[in-house]
Amino acid sequence: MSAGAIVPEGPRPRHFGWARLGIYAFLIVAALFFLFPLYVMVLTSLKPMAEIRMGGLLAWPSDPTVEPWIKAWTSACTGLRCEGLRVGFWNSVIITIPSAVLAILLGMINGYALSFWRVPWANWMFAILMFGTFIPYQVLFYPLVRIASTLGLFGNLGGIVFVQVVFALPVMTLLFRNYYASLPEELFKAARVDGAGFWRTWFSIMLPLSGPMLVVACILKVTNTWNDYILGLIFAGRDNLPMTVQLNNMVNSTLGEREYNMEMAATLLTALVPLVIYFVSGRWFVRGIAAGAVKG
Amino acid sequence: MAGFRWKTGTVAAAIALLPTACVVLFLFVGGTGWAALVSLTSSKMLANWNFVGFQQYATLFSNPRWLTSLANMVIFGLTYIGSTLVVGFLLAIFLDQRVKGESVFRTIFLYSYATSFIVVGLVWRWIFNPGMGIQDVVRDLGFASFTFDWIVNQRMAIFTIVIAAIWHGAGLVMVIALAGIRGVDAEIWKALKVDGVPAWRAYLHVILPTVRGSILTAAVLMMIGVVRLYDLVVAMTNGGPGSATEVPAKFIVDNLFERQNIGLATAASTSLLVMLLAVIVPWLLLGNARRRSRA
Amino acid sequence: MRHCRRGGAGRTQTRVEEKDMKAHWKLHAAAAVLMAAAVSPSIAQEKQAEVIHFLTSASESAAIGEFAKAFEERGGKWLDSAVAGGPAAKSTAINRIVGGTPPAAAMFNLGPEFVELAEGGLLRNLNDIAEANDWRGKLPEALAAAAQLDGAFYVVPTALNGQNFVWYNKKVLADAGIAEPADWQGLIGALDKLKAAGKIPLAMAGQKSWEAQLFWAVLLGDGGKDVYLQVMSDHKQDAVKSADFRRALETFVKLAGYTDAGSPGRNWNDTANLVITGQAGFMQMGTWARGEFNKAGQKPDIDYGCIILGLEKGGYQLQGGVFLYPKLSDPAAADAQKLLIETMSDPAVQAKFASHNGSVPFWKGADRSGLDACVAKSAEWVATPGVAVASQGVLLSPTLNGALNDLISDLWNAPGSSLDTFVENFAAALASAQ
Repeated sequence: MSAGAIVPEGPRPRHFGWARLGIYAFLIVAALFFLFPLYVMVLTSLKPMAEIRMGGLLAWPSDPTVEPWIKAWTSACTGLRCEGLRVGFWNSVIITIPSAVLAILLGMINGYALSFWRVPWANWMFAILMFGTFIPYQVLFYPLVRIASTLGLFGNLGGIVFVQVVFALPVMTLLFRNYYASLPEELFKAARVDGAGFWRTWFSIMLPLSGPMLVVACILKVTNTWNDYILGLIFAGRDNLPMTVQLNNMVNSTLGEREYNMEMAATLLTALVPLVIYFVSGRWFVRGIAAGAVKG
Repeated sequence: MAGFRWKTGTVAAAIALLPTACVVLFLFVGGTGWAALVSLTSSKMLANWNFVGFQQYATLFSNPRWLTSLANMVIFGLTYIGSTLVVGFLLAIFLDQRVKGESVFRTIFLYSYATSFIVVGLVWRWIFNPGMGIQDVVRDLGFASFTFDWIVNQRMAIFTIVIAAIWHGAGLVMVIALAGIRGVDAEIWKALKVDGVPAWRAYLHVILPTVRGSILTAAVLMMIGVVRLYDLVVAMTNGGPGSATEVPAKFIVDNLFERQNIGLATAASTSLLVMLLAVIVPWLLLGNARRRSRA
Repeated sequence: MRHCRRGGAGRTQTRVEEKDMKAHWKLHAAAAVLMAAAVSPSIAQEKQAEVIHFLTSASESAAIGEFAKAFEERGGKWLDSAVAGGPAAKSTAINRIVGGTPPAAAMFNLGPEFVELAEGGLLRNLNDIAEANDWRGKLPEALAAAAQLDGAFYVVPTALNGQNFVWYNKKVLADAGIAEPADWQGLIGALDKLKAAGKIPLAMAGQKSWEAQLFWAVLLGDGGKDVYLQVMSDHKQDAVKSADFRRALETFVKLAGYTDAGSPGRNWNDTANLVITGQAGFMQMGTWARGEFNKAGQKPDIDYGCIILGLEKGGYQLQGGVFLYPKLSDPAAADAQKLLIETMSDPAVQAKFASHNGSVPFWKGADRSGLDACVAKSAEWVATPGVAVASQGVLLSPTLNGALNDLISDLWNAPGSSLDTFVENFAAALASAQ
């Protein structure tokens, strides 16, 4: 593990026998639970509809086919157009990147300002902000549509990014506020003694310490934005619709016929981007950066 | 000199918080206030300003479905937050034992978070369905009397949603916990190792208290999830059987859109907020008291 | 057929209350129109029109494609905005209208949904086009009534479906020696035999809206048209306490005993598959169920049958969609919208639309050859006065409809519960809607 280079080993027991076995047994059993629905989805996506109709949820496909995957990506109907999921892929990317960057940046700065600086009204603001997250956001659509269209942020890329950032603010702020609050205050005091101001302290002390929480924020925000459907539908405008709108159109017709194999394939395809991020984010989970930063 | 900097620093902090303050003021305060006002009107499909007093609230609290929804939210919230915290932290601690293939395990525990509920809810519905899911499969193996029909049982259906929600959310708690654990000062780990403290005691007495920020974050995130719980219920049971798995957010969204009853929907969301206030305010006061004692 | 008229007593009463609101909405409408003018400078040299609809499955896509094709053949440019699910599509349209960028057309459900928008002055009055193209002559009377408010057309009925069909697997019935039942009591006899034969007698999609749909089908076919309309369009509380209502209620509760353990929560599609694969005998579903049978390669009147139980006593329950056309301030856009309306109300185009998703071609003068057995029956019944009856979606306000759905679903899922309590709650819900 790369962490070993800077940091001493964690408090792990010396004996390798039963304890080690127990650790792996627990992890593997847990992994099986997590993989079970995935197994069902992959199997279903590889079966022709005739086989799905017969039931046999866990049965291996007798005549496996990748056709549903191809169809989901290239030719499934999502309304008038029958071009599959790929239509919205780049829209999703273009919506997700600026939304995630802006929301995380604002969240970090908010969290930092809230944990270490004493702005008189800040705690009130934070309280209301957190309180605001408990309203099902569908209730706010109507006023938000009016605000957004007044600002010229309705039905365009700016609109969807704006709304995505706005609704992410509470959680992003919370994430970093709580994280920074748990860091040793000595770090901050040292910078203060050095005479560093607001921005410099953040940039030189706090930002380098934010690694693990930055990954969490990134996972959270990218996934939420990527999987968001209703905000994209309402605020993005018809030229910028994310691929979840297509996914939803494929799988959610009330009175239409269903193609479950294609729906499963489409769902898994949509989840690919977050999955890659989860896998790659691993290298950021390094132990004890705090100590490294103080010394470095 | 330092004092001067400190002051300009506070001003800079205030400026940095300004965009968020605007959002809070215009959207959250404005929007909530708007909703509270509309809840006093007879609004149907569109908002109007025909005030009818607290009539919507009277209707709301005599609606058995709303009362069921509130009860379900509490049952779901307690079981879901409790179990997910335990499962998530256990996963993080076990993963922290320098296991081989950590990133593979981490991705497996987390991937569920990336999937959209629309279809995954359907898969869970199939898995729990006594006619085609686990019950059917086990019976085919020869256990003819095996019964697992929670999802069609009015008393147990809500717990099938808890299981699916744990499956969806535990990975995120695991990651937050892991970030907290990995963020712990390296000196502490070193000291623990030198003292020869057993692993379980190190986690329980030293690490867990240090990562309380992460625990709190995870808990609040899940609380938000509980209050907003909607997609999963729609995809798995659509509130059924009967009204057995109805939840407040679904009540609100149904009335807002499908049932075209904005007045009732805003009354429901406003009541929900007021009730949550009763839970959140003590927590905030506690947090403030702690901050003050630290300062 | 006259019963299809929206509203009844309830509407007139609320209309008085809504007067204040009307004025308010005019203001909003004006603001929206102004904003629309600012947002879209007359770029629409070509006649482009955006349509929001919820027709997203493969067969539905093909159907809406006919409108698009016809519109483009006439020189228009169709901008498609498909949103799965009626409530999501409708709220998108409403948000767009409120946000000042209204689409040229939006799909809603047949029924009173458009009234509030029309009263707010947000919709285009279609009377000029209706007069010029003789909609009153071409539409069945009930539908013409449902498309108007105070004598003015605001919507174009489209995608009409029969709701109270019962579907069955012919082979399963033949194997068990069961003849096609004619009414709900006959169905119960058939279900007993299927139970004895070890089949799932009644495949049920145990979701709220389908449970309610079954209830209304039983009330109409077993309780009779009189009690059905007294409850639905007159909201008469006495009717709920009548013997006819009680009989239908008992039949409905009895039906719950013929479903399988996997029923609650199941999609209608999976439920249709039980009938298609011969695991179940009967199921109740609207004409759209034909889509699943077709996909599985089944033929009407050969592999499966579709019937309406108690047709004489009750009737054929209509439900469907409409397109409405928001007011547009930009003359070029409004011009394109006019072409769109003319295209979408052309009986020939409507018939082509219907041919794809199994909805009923109801405009007079449309080509009705080549319809499959189930749709042909529907088309005939729509045109026969006195047979077609409006469904709950057309007759009830969405609020009342939803409240009754809750009650019906609770009863269906706890069949042992007291019928008297149900009747009381049902009557109270009707009273609150008065």
